[in-house]
Amino acid sequence: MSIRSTDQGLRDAFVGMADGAVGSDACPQAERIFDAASGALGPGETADIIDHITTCGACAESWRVAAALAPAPGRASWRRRALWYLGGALAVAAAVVLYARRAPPTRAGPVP
Amino acid sequence: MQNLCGTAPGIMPSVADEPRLAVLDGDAPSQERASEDAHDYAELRARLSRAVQRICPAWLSGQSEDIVQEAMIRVMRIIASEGGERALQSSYLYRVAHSATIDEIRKRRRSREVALGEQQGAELTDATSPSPAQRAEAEQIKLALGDCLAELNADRRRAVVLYLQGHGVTEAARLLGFGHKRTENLVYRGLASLRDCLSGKGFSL
Repeated sequence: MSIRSTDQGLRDAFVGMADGAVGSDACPQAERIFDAASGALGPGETADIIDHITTCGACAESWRVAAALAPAPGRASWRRRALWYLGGALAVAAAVVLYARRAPPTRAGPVP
Repeated sequence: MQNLCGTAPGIMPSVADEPRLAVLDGDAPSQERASEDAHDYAELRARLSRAVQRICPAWLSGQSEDIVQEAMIRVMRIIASEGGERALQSSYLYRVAHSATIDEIRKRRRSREVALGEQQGAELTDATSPSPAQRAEAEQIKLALGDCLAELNADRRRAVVLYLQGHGVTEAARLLGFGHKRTENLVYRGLASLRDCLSGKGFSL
């Protein structure tokens, strides 16, 4: 789903909720918000933070700042997976090369 | 980089001073080590500086060096207490840069709030400030949006909030632990409900 021009008005209004917002004692720590925005927390904990930012403009802003800096959620695991695939492919290639270069078996013949 | 671990808690090594001290000692290996420390310190500071520059709002750009300094102090404390391996990872530096920037934003906002409170009734002369009518309208939209979001069921609300925060459906799905199709439906229906609700309150966004 790509953003429509009509969605931009809603986004602007939501972002506007941060104007002048200073947060409160109930706000989660900035580090936890960073972890949530970068996908480092589980879905349950992330949901708790999202519930908070729904009504707290200051923390919603903190989330947006974190999202601008943090790796997109899931991207790191994708890279890890890609490395595993690459490693596996290299191992298979190395095994094939070693097998191909092995000396052919000598056929047993009559001893003169 | 591990050389930074030797720094005492709360003490910032100086790029300029450490090599000079080593020269005075006349000890070649320690001079080399101090030079490495200085290089590591400068590199660490540069990485933090780049991170802060990426997220520091324009209105706070005058304080960006203070934020970098605060972030440096936090990283050095972590290095002193836990070692450098974790603290020097990019993701961890980003985390520290984020928290230092957010703390500064909130500190500045609080002090501005206090300053505005102290001059109650005084006319604001800043030409860029919104007029009282604009402020009142923005306040009404905020309230209406908050009420309408509260009316959505929890899953739709979370999906819509992530979308309004700038996340695409794929990212929102990963964050919520839902499938892509389900998240797309939640966002689509949630936005429709949100618009209906706002329209009922006299707003068309």
